[in-house]
Amino acid sequence: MRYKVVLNGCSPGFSSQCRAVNAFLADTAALDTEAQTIVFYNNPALMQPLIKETPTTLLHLVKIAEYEAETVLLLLAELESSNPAELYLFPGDYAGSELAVRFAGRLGGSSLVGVENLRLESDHIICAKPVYNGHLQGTFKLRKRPFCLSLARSISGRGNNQASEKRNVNKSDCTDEPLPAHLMERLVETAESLGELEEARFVVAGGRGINSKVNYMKLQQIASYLGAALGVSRPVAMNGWAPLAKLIGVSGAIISPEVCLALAVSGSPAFFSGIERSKHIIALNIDPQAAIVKNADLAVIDDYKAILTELTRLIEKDKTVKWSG
Amino acid sequence: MNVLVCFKIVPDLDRLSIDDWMIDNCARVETRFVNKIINPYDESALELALKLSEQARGVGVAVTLQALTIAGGWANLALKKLRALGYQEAVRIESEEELSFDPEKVATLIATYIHNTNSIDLVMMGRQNSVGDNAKTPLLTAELLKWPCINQVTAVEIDTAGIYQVTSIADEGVITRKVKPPCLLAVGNAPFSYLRVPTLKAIKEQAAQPVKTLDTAELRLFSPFLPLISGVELLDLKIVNRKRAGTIIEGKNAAEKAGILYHSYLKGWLADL
Ligand SMILES: Cc1cc2nc3c(=O)[nH]c(=O)nc-3n(C[C@H](O)[C@H](O)[C@H](O)COP(=O)(O)OP(=O)(O)OC[C@H]3O[C@@H](n4cnc5c(N)ncnc54)[C@H](O)[C@@H]3O)c2cc1C
Ligand SMILES: Nc1ncnc2c1ncn2[C@@H]1O[C@H](COP(=O)(O)O)[C@@H](O)[C@H]1O
Repeated sequence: MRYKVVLNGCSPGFSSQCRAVNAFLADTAALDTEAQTIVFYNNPALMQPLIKETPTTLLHLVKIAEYEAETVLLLLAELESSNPAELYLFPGDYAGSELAVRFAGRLGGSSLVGVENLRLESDHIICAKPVYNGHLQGTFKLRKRPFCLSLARSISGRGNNQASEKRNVNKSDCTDEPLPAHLMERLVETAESLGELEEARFVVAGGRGINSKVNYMKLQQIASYLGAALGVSRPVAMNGWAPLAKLIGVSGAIISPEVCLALAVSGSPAFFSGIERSKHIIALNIDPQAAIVKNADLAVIDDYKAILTELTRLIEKDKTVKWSG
Repeated sequence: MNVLVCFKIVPDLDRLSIDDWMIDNCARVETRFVNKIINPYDESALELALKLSEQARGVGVAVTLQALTIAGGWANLALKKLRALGYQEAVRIESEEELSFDPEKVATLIATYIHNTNSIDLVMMGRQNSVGDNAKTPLLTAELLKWPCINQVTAVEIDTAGIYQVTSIADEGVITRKVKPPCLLAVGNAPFSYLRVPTLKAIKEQAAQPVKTLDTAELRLFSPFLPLISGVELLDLKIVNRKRAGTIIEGKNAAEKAGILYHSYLKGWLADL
């Protein structure tokens, strides 16, 4: 099947977009080898070293002034309208999942967001994705071409199989494209801690059971003492106890540390899919029936504050022993 | 300025325990007995719109609020509650159909309503409904109307000239845009957006007033949009098993449990980092 990959080269997550698409392609049989990747980018200096990571050897680099969904959609629809591919793959980040749906809407195709796997049939495709807030997996049949899919955020990265091959690059300059008429001003505030949780090897994740902003701040002290990054579940961010950048889950960071200490979270799938790539999961919860208890490797049924107090004491003691020895 | 907020009532899936998930032959889960809530992202959209109307009043701009849901009569209670909170109009498009997995149909109905109403300049929706997990309706509605759309919105304000200032989350960070209406906003994780509670007095006042109801067939008659055929069909559902060992550390008190956790497991794991 003739397919194209569409990536956002203006995003700091470009490498992980490439890795996720590569992993997905490696698991998907019977796709064309002569595929193309379209990359929208604005900074050639940043783009150049990343080209070798792109999923296909055929590349179309489209230079734009800045990534604004309205503009990118317009350009993409223009580019593809005369001869659309049968299948378009978009990464599972914010930009990719928006573009997949709107692009399908414009071209009269069918779309699906958060796709975990794909099977080709003669006149349709079959995809699986999470539904019921991640509690279940649904299998879907898509019939209208072009099929526009954004990938599940949980698809883990993988290096490129074609990394050593040369790229066949085609370039367009669309930096003159005017800002959309409705947009009068646009200001981007780059997040400071971008990628911090994703890269951490030890993460403490706190849930609604921490109960207050004061406790969140205490947790922050303890996490930094333990050398862990601190993340939170949705209610903690929604209550304003923690900044949104700390959110873990389907709508936040997808982490893959060696150790994740999940405390005072119930472990709903929307949260759990953010931590399920952790090597070791430890749950601290007062409720033995909480889903997190069954889905963790280890669980302690107790007040998280009491356990953390004891843990820091033990670590402190260990440090002291090392010092005197 | 006329603001429309679309919302869906969903079962509170957080309340279902692992054993409650039963899938029937038609790839549906029995959720009739689960407590119903306003979809979490829609709750945020509804609250952000209330905040917007207060902020607008502060700068001397009049904003009217409308709430819309496509649902059966069981949704009337929620619509009345929204009126008690300050929504001037609460409309229900009559449908007993299960639409959770048909965002194309929902978007067509909503776009038709907006088109026919002809006075709405800002539409707010949640970014995703928690049953279908589609994350498509606001985007498709914007495409049908040929309106600009901003996704993952966390806050919105208006200035004296009727220009909206919209804050949203993107892959590169937080983006603040000034936009001219009309525009569609899909609300994401917006802090401080749990829906406020109406006063008893306001609820009583609204209880007797009927809810405006529209018929889908009638609405479609006047639709400039072709019936959108999604081309997407749900075939089946399966339960995702996420179970790990779930070993519970036993001990007579916190100190003992923490001791086992630390010495037998955590210390070694952390040493490997
Ligand atoms: C479309 C959609 C997307 C979503 N995306 C996300 C997401 O990305 N991330 C996310 O987190 N959520 C997300 N959610 C929300 C999710 O469904 C849950 O509502 C949320 O994860 C619950 O958070 P929680 O576990 O912190 O709170 P709760 O479910 O209230 O659990 C609190 C837990 O704390 C325990 N506890 C209380 N006190 C203590 C104590 N002293 N010591 C130890 N334990 C204690 C309780 O036993 C309980 O298990 C999403 C929801 C929707 C609809
Ligand atoms: N039946 C409905 N009535 C009104 N709004 C809806 C309905 N279904 C979905 N929506 C809106 O569309 C958003 C996204 O839903 P979905 O695309 O199904 O994930 C929801 O958060 C609601 O704001």
